[in-house]
Parts: sequence; structure tokens; C-alpha cells
Amino acid sequence: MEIEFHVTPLFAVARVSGELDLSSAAKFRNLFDQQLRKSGVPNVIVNLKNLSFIDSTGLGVLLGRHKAVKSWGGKFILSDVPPKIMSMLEMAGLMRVLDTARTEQDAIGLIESGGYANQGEASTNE
Amino acid sequence: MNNHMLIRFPNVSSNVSVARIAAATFASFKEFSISDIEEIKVAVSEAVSNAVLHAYPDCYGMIEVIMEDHDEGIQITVKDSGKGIEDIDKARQPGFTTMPEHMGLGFTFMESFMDELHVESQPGSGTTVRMVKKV
Repeated sequence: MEIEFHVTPLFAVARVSGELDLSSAAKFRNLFDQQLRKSGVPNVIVNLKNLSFIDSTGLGVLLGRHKAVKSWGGKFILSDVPPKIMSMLEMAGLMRVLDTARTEQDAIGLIESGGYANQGEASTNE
Repeated sequence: MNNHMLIRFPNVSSNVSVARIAAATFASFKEFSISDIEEIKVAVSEAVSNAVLHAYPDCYGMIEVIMEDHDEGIQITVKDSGKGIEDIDKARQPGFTTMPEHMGLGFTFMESFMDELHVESQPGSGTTVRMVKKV
């Protein structure tokens, strides 16, 4: 599992590739939390286009990051979700909880127009 | 003789993906669809993750995954000799978890993605999870 981050003042994009399971969950959590702490950016888009596998451990880690971002009023959006990952989210009931966008660009549009949290609000809650 | 394969490994998290890939490769010699094989991968991942996380708290222990040809598909057994499950019915309930940031959906996914799921466990003697996927 690899994550590539792209950070702007309003949001970070985390492009995740590979497999998200017990063997990669801790790495995902650490990289993600570290990057958000460092940048202080409030909103996050997680692009899952190149995520090839997820199980319940991986879903739990995504939900945990969603809760963290939400706790400081930020927006957490999953984008480019492949069909098989989408069906796992649906089975887990996470589509009722997590926001998704068809593409990364759509997610950026949602954040830019949505009046979500501003920079600096993230770091206090991590 | 029915084809079968046994892999045995310690409770190290990176072995979850090895076990999953081994099971998917074994299953690929049967006439499963790609979506069936994806479901087998999730079920094996859940069963092995449970064993890695819960069977041997804070110590080293071995896990076995046995893959076998079955009349109508394949049978996969995930076995440990760890602490066992005290209340199997409770553990199988959707959302039941003892760990933070875990969904408690492991058994739910195994049950949904496989055609049969049998769980046997004795506290102190380990747990055996047997799953059958039919073609």
C-alpha cells in the first residue's frame, strides 16, 4: 500500500494504491495522521482509484480517519471508488456515513463550494 | 485424491496477504468467476486477520490455512492453537469487536461471501474456521 499526498491550503488529496488490510493498516494510519498534523489542512479527499483490495480492517481505518477529520469540522470525501471497493463500503453500511464523489475533481468542487473548515483548525484536535 | 495444500506461518500481519493470495491462486484452478475469487480473498483475509489479532495476545503462535478441493468447489480452513473464543455466537454478531478502529464485520463478511461457515473453538485450545465456496 502506498499513499501519495497532494496538499493545498484548503484540502489534502491522498491517493491510495495497493491493498488496505491488517498488514498495511498501521502504515496508512501513521502516514495519514502525520501528513495532516504536519500540513494542518482541514479537509481530505481520499482517492481510491488504485486501491485493489480492502477488507474490514481497511474499512475500519478509513472510518477512523473520517471520524478524526469530522471531529475538527473538516470534510472527508472518498473519490474514484472502484466498484468492488464500493460494494464493500455498501455491505459495511458505510455509504450512510461516508461522503463519496465520482471523481477527485468533483470532490474538490464539493469542498470549494461547501464552506468547510479552514486551514489551522485541524491541528488542534489530532 | 483431492488436491489440497497447507500453509503454516506465524501470527505476523504481513502473512494475511500471503494467505489471501495463496487461497486465490488455489481457487483459480476451479471454475470460479473473478468476483467469486475476490470474495474468497476477503473471507480468507478476515479469518486470518482474526487469528493474527486475537489468537495469541502479545506472543508468538502459528496459524494454518488448509485449502482443499471440495465436491462442489473448495474448502478453506483457518486454524490456530491460541486462546480460543469464549462466546462464538457473540463474536459472530455484526459489529461485535474488542478492538478500537475495527468494524466487527469479519465473520459477517465470511458468512456473506462463502456458502458455508463453521466455527469451532474451545477457550485455551484454539479456533478452527472452516469455509466452503461452491462453484
